[in-house]
Amino acid sequence: MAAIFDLNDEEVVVIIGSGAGGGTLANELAQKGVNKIVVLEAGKQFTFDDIENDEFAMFLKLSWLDKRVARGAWSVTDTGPNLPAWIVKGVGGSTMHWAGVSLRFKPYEFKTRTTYGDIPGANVLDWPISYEDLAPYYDRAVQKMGVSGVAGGMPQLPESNLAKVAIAGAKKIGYKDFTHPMAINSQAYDGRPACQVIGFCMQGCKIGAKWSTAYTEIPRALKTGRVELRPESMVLQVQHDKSGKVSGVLYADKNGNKHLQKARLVAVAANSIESPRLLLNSASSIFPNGLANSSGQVGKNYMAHATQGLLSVHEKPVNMHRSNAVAAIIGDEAKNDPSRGFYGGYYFEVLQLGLPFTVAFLRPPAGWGRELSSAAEAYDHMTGVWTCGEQLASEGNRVYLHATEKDQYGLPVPIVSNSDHDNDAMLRRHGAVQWRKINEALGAHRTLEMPTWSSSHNMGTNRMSAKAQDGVVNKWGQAHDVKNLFISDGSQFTSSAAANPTLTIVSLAIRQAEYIADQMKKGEI
Amino acid sequence: MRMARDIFPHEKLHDKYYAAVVNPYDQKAATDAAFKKLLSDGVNDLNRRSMKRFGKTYAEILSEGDRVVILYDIEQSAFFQKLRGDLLYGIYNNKEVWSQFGYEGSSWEKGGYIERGFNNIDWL
Repeated sequence: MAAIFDLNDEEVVVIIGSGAGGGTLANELAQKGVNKIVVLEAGKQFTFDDIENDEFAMFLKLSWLDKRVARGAWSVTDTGPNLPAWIVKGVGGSTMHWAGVSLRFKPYEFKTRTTYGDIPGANVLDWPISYEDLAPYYDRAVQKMGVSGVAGGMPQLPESNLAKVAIAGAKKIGYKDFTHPMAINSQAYDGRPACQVIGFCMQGCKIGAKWSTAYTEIPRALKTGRVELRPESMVLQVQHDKSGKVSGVLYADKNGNKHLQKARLVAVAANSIESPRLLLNSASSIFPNGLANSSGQVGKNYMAHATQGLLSVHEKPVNMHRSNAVAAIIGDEAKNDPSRGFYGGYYFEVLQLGLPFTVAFLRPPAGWGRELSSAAEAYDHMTGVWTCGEQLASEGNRVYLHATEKDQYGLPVPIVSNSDHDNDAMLRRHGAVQWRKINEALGAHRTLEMPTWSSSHNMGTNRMSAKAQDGVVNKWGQAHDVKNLFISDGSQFTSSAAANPTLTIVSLAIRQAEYIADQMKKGEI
Repeated sequence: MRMARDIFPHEKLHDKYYAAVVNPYDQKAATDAAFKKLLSDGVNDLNRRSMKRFGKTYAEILSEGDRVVILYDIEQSAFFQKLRGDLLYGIYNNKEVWSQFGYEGSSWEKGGYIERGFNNIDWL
């Protein structure tokens, strides 16, 4: 069963993070026979007993709440000045919180520089891999996770009231693409039950119908006897030897005691804020600007998606809370059509929130008085949506270290700076107008806009590039500068695409595991 | 109390839900000098503005529209934001009031909505 490895064992493969990237990579490597894998996870291990159907309680229980600072022109400096990202600190990472949306990137989204051309003010780059390179791994991710609503997966989830209203409105204005790929079981699959429409996907699925590494990849990896999981282990620094190869990882346990785990190889999968932060905090005489940062691109090109939350009030009840979180997806605007006034596309992710979050996410001027209270009284007549669109890479949007402020481990607090490119703003605006049309087509008279909140989709801060000077890692997620250092999360994304990141993170991790296992066998790393 | 109801006005909600947020303030102010100052400065400022504009204290202003004009002036203040934040949580996260808004809260113990009306819409 679960193995225990020595701190001084130099053959250990260290994986930092147990979410979509790290959890998947650990299991894939272990299934291939790679031995001596240590997964260091900053957060706790949660069980199904910890899961409550309560928005605020689970936000406080699961979220990564260590201090961070939001800067830039996005509204998160107001809505979450010390919480730029809404992600999870716990075994399973943000696969505990995600809604299960499993959209693939489109082929053009791997070739954005070629497709869009040179966009002033942005730092757009083609991925060093194509859709065709990743397609077989997407197929395997779909099987692994159990995705409903796609060819080769399970039947689509049944349509809730909220889905029916949104789709009816969308059809009235001519939309046709209602593909709804979700890593939520529409029937029992892989030892997990079918969805019961509990309505609290993002608070952690109480029955495990939604895929999370916490109760799939991680326990399977441990069962091989080749993997040790160390929860509540916050990594402080990745260390290297004189030749510049990584040699170990310094971390603090739950009591604050520090340990140095020696390593043959390190894979960083700590999400797009902590991953670059860790590299920057691992600066040394050989790597004065941060580990693997000869290009200066570590932390840069942060992308959070261009998003817009909206609520529309209908004349008759919808009862949106009786639905899985993302009830439906409208995909007609997920395309590159510059005639709309912007590059790239977006999805309407038809979304329900409970009453507490519905009102909490409205802010002044709509955040109090009759404007808010009359909306609250129409709660059961509402439809909700979160438009999720491509945010262009831009060097000015970045994660960097605070000059003076330190966290509880003595490490500089990370600053996340993000501002809309004009393209992002135009895309977001288009989505808001179209959502209004969808609902007005069914007689809704009122639509409320939410400000941007702490981002759950964080990408790009250690991006893949063909040339070392343009990014941080190569097409395998391997650092250009350090061959036994890998990035295994969404920070390796070269473009954000319009799709939610998890399916692509998992697919990349499956592909990366093949490469790592092969390279280890050949003695290359 | 008047201000609390003006921030989140719901005729259908009993005073007790607002009171549950506001009443503990006295106790907190007794032991927390900074909080006491926030409250007293905030209330004084509110009444000063009310007197200047309408010649009476905030609570004496009869028209909600007139009171709200005063609140718009102070909505960015720490005092207003404190009260708004506490009320937001205290009112809308109070399980006792959810049913009055058509929100049903925790559902897993009832087996979710798969057999309880998740797709029963009849007006499309």
